[in-house]
Formats: sequence, structure tokens, C-alpha cells
Amino acid sequence: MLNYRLTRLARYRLVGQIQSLLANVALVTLASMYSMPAAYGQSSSLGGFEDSVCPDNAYAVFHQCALEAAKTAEPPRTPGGRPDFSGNWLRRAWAFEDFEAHPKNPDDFGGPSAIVDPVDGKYPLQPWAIEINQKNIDAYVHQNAACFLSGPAGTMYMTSRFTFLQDDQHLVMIGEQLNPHPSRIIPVDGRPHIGDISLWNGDSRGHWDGNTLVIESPNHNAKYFLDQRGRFITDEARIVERMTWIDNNTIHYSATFDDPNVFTRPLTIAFAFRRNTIDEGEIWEEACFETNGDPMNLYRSAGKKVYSGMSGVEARELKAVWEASQ
Amino acid sequence: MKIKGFLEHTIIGLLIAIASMSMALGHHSVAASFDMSQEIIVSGTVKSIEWINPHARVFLDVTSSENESEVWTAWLSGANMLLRRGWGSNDLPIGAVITVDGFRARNGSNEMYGGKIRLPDGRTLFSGVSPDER
Repeated sequence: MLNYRLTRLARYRLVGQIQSLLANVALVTLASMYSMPAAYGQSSSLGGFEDSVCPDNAYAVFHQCALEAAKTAEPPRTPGGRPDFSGNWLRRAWAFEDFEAHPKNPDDFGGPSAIVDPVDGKYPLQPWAIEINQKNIDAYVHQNAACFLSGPAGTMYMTSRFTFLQDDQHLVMIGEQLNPHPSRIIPVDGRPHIGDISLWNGDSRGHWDGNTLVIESPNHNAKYFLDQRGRFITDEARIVERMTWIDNNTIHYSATFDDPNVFTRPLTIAFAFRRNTIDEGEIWEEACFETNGDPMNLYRSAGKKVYSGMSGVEARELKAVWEASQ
Repeated sequence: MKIKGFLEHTIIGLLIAIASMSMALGHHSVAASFDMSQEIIVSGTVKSIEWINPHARVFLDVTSSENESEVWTAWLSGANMLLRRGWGSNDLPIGAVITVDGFRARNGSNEMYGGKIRLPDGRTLFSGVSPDER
């Protein structure tokens, strides 16, 4: 039997009318928590940002608006003439919970699908990988709980607040919470990739496509899930991020994942970075490691392990086994 | 009578908790280690606090329904996030009697993920990501 002491409120012997009222409140709240909206075009949890040419944060709505707005955007420039993303920003995305549309509940903020391509918002998983995906959910805890990084794109939607610093050789993205040391230094001066290396956030290099910064990050280790639903890629996945200045308060961000080992076709997510106008935007230390051994014990006692990743070779072997069993 | 009282209190407590916990709490899946179907409310005296990242913790001296002394741990958001939500470590002084709404650890230990704390002076402190930062 549970033997904890209940709250002072709970100890009161409330009259039947109050109990009935509470029950009604609870039922209404439950209904709103667990029922999906009829259409996912809008998300109250994502909200909007009024002072923007593309105010709606709902991924697909924002994406389409931003693609159009980018055609006439006039960004501030670095001394070398490149669009300047410098400043303090907040990402508007709950993609780390679930790439696909998902309801608000006590564990999730919920929202529409962050996947803007395919347009149905569905994760284009090959049949053999569906079973692996489910095993991931059952067996592993999200890498963030173990203070591990989330990959080049995952860093951008795990972390809420960023400071971007830029010159004509680099874009430096310094994040704070929700990820351990999620800083990225992206050379944008045309230098080659590092090459023979395996990194959590990959071997990122940026180049310019007009006013859009395109970041390619090969040599990532794929030891991370894309979301808290166990969705995975292999270390052979091509990850291409695109950042476009839309207006003084808005950056259009997208990430395309192309992994023929796992997907039936590439998928793209997109969301907004909004200028941080809620506070001074200062980035504070948020060391992830202190006492993290205790929550890890909780995960282990719940039967969870830390995901160890999947290589392209392993994926092809698993796929062959699955196909032979069909 | 004891069981009846317990159930009555539990039901009322759960209803209050459900009505007030319609918010996501964490950056990683809290549900991996805390049972989101076991919404509980625990009252106790602040024994000690750890005001750190990535998760602050409050340790409570609690008297169980069987009149036994227990220590409960309430996990909260990290100190940065709590500070940005208006919390300070002095808001939870040692010896204060507080009430924590949250979710119990799946392993059945006396640990919970706290989403809301009610203070003796009537203030309510929330854990989780600030609405402004979502």
C-alpha cells in the first residue's frame, strides 16, 4: 500500500458537492490533455510571435510562410557581406518529444508534426525498422537524460535558448539548457571537413546558398535518437541544415535527414527561431553532470539503458535478417 | 475506516493533481522513470535542498499515513530554469512545510518528479519550462 502522507487539502473531508466539482474539472482537463485537435494546422503549445512576417510557429504553416518571405528578405550583413544571424534566439519546436503530431499530456507539450516533407507529416520508416523503433522505446532512455549530445540537428531543437555569434569565418551557436554543452562552431569559410572522425554533432561545415546558410555534418556517430519516440538514423545518414534570415525577429531553420538504410525517402523538419525578447538573453552555465548518477539509477531500475547507436553496416544486417524472415 | 479514509483522500488528491498538472515537465521523457499515471501529492518538511543543474532536488521529512517517518525526494527542473521562473533557493527554507504535486518514481521508491510546490504563505512555485520559453 502506498504509505505517503497526503496533502493538507487532501486530508480535508470535502463535501460531496466539492468532490463533484473537482471530478468535473478533472474530467474536462483530462479530455483536453489527451484528445488530439481535429486538425493539426495550429498548435496552442507552439503559439506565435506577433512581431514577425511569419508569426505562426506551427511548423508547416511557418515553413511555407518563411519560404515565401525569404524571397524578399533583406538581412543585416557581416563585414564580408553574408547574412548575419548574431543575437539571442529561442527555438520554437517540440520536435524532441515526437517528430510526428502528438497530444499534450503531462510528459509532452504536444503539437503538430514537425515534418514538413513528406507533407503528410509521417516518419518515412522502412518496414524492417518499425520493430527496431518499438524496441528502442521499450529498452532505452533518450540520450539527453544521460547528458549526451543529440546530433547536429537535435542540438538545435533540444536546446531552448541560444546566442549566435558570427564573423566571416564562423557561425558559433552557444546553447544553454536542455542539452549538455550544446555549443557548435560552424566554419563557413570553405575549409574541408575534418574527415576521418566520429563525433556526436558531426563534422559540420557551412556554405552559402544565396542568403541561406547550408550546414552539412558528416561523420556523426548516430548514438542518439531523433526524438523521445526512439526514432533513429545510422551513422551514414546525410544531415543538411538550412538557416535563412526572414526578418529581424525570425530565422527559418530546417533539417533534412537522408538515410536510405532506414527511410523510404528523405524527411525534412522545419521550425522558427525567434529573437529572445523575454529577457536579457544571457547564456548561463548548465552543467549536466552533477547528481546525474541518481536519475540514471532511476532509469536503470525502470529497466532502461542508454542507447548505443546504430551503424549503417548493422542496419543492413538487421534489414537482411528481417527480410529473410518475411 | 482507515482504508476508506485513505481511498477518499487519494481520490481527492489525484483529482486535484490531474486538474493542475496539465503541463509538460521536463526536457527528457520524465515518463521513463516516473509513472505519469501515478499523480501524487506529498506534504512534508523541507529537510534539505540541492539547488543545482540539471535537476534541483528537495528532500522532505514526511509522516506517512501509518505514522511512520519517511524521507521523500522531489526532483525539479534545473536551478537555471527555476531561477528564470522566479524561484530562489531561499523560497524553500529548511523546516518549511510544503506540498509537492508530481509523479511517483516507477521503482516505487519515495521519489517523485515535482511539477508544483505550494508554500505555507500561499505562493505556488512551478517547475518545468517557463511558458515564455516554450
